[in-house]
Amino acid sequence: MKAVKCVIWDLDHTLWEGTLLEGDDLRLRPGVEDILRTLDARGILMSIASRNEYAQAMERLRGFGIEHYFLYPQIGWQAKSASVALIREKLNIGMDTLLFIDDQPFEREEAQSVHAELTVLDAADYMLLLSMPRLRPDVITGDSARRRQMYVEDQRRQQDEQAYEGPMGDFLSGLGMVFTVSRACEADLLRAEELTVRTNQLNSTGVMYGYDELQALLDSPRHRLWICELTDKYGSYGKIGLALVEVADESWTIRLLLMSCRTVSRGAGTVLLSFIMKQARSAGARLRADFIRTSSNRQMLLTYQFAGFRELGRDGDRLTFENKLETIQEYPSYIRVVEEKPLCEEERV
Amino acid sequence: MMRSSEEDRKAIRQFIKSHMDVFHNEDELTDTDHIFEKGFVGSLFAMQLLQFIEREFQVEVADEYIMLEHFSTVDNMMSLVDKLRGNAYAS
Repeated sequence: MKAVKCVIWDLDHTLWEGTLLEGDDLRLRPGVEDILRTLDARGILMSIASRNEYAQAMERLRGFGIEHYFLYPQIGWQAKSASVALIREKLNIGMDTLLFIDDQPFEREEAQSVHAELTVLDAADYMLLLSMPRLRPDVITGDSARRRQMYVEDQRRQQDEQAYEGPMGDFLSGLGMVFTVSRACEADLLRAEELTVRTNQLNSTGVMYGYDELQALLDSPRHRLWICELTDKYGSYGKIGLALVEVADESWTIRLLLMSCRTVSRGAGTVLLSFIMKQARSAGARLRADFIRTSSNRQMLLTYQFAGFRELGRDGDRLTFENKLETIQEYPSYIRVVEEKPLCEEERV
Repeated sequence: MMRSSEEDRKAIRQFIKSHMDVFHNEDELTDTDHIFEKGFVGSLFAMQLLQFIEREFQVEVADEYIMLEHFSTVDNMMSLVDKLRGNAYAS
């Protein structure tokens, strides 16, 4: 089972005791504030799917001082399954990483019947949330603690993008995007580990790497571990991409390539792949890549094959790609790509 | 009733134009224009295009067909659809 990335709360008799529209005296259920604070600090996102009157419900959430925890709250009269679908789309994460908590069996079943991969939880069990293994990430990084904030910045980007009248290229140019690629250092390893665990859709192999394995790779002269950060005028998207390349004389092999789904709309996956292709070409090496097809990484397959990678061999689900490096897609004009020598480089020499 | 081939092409052209702003009006996108050479195309748009083709023409594009050359021009996309439909009839 995959880690839960977002918990979707019902309101009446789930988050709080009482029914808003019946004029009940509402109280948060005991321990709920602590649960919200703790999940948020763990980097788990939260949202709401409630059949209620939007303005009134939001006012109560503000009154409790907890409204800031919820991204894209869906409060209205639509089916819960529709709310869940919308939240999933807005957050761009897999349905199998969502957990929906509601007190009514009908609502849980309705949502589950439409979304087989959704996890549902009876509100009676809400005290279990903090101890469920899927809600206890092994690593908590600077990026996880800032995750909600990063989504809020994303929300502002999206609003501005939708409101922008004119060619999208002009909008993107105005963002001042900088894509920084650097060799990973010790301080990046927790985040690198987290990326391998959390990234499903844009992941070339689905192989998870632990901290110790990554550290060994860092010291290996045969490997290069690159980590990328994307920033723009709204802030940083965080460390959003990772590439592990095994370098042996004339032959480079991309063992792992992954990219956070938050940045895919900016073309970040294609940029990182182009970067590696350029590096390999200037080193005079041929370039291959491992690829393991999973049920969720079709987009990564597309990224590779559209970049000119072709199947060289296959062993079950395990593919080897090769790229002749004849054409390399240029970086988009709206992203400045910077290759940075990390500060820790000197320490390692 | 089956749509004509010209209507199919028009649907594809419209989808591309609504997602790529290098094409502003009808006559700027021809069926032989290489859309990936006209502007940067990230994998998100490529994925949307793939899903559009599958939805619009009710075909399933198997992994081995997910290649740039099948999606680079309107003509090539139509050939891919014809091929996938042909395969479906044969099976």
